[in-house]
Amino acid sequence: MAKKEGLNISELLAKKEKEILDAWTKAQADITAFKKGLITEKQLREESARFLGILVRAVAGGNLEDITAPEYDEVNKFLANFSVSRASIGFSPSETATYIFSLKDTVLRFLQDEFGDQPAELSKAVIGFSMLMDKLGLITVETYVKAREDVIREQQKSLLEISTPVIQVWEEILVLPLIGTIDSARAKQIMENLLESIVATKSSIVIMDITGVPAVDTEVANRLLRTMQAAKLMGAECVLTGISPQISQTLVHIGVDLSGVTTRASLRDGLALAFRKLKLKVTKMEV
Amino acid sequence: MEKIEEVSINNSEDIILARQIAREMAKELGFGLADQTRITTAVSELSRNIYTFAGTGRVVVKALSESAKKGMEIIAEDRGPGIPDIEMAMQDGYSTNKGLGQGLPGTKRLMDEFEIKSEAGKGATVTIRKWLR
Repeated sequence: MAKKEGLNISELLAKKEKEILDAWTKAQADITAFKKGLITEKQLREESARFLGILVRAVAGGNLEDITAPEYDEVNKFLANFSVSRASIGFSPSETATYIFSLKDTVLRFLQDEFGDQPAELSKAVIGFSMLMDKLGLITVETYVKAREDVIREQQKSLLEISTPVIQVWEEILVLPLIGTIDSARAKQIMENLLESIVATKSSIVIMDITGVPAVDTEVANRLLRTMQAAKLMGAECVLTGISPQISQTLVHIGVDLSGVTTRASLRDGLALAFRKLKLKVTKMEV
Repeated sequence: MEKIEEVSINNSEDIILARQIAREMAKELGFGLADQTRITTAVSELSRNIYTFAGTGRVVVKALSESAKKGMEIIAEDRGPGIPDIEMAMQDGYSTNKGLGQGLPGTKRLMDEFEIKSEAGKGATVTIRKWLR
């Protein structure tokens, strides 16, 4: 039975491919992205013709259920590329999914015309085809989101790299300006970068500046303390600077004990302290 | 004015989202910079607890107005393993994951009101409030 209805739909698709394509392209003319000029009618038509061809081949065997079957490989591949390219030219997820859903509406109308006199067959065909198209629609959304997520992950990675510099400001003095959120991945990287730099530059003083860290909760404080402990083990003294009045109050309230840590309000004060410890003096030149 | 925002906590980025929402609302309600930071930090602690101990949960941030009082309420709830001994968990320096052990007691000190409910195996709910004065 399933075979028969499948055949009906695939026959219909194959027979009416041209008319369906016309109707489908027309149905898509209303979408906003099309109006915004992100894609031309010609492009849309070519793309649609290609997809319809692929879909006709995929359903030819009568399989409308299992879209993981080999005959759907082409369909899946097309949709994956399609979503990614749509995402990159600025289509919204719903506009991307509308592509498939407008085809569904179009084909359902053709089914109606074809099987209008056989209600039982019609409803079976409608349900079968709807489910197939819903699955395909979901694929477009899923790949669209995945494409976006990939972009975000890339950006996160590059942010991680640029956001933990260790700067040698003077002989034996390192500055570690911390910016943004310190999560476990960042904390690990900060620690590694710092310890390597201590060895490489033979530094004895590390100034950790948290001016750019918006919130210090116990977890962040704990990570900072551990980093400073590790630096100490390598023979470098740590100075924590850039503690804003708000963060200072919060830390006191929350009960984080920083009594073992040398702290200064600003990076400038920290640097002055470092100079003093190294018995360096900054003076104005006599002219 | 009824304002409620909800963040579901599923990964460490959601912690940042939760505290940004809390900070925004605190700012809108007219909390000063110090209180904004306290509220943000408290939300950070609670959502991190959700992520660390339960994996998933949600944080609800609410604007409150009771007669003459205005303030903010934050509810952090999860269906995780729960807190077996609340009294211990509220003690300074007690930690089950090598943390500083200041998270919950610290959060209590940062806020005006603090309620904690938990049943082993059924999750935990922490409700905190801060009033505008």
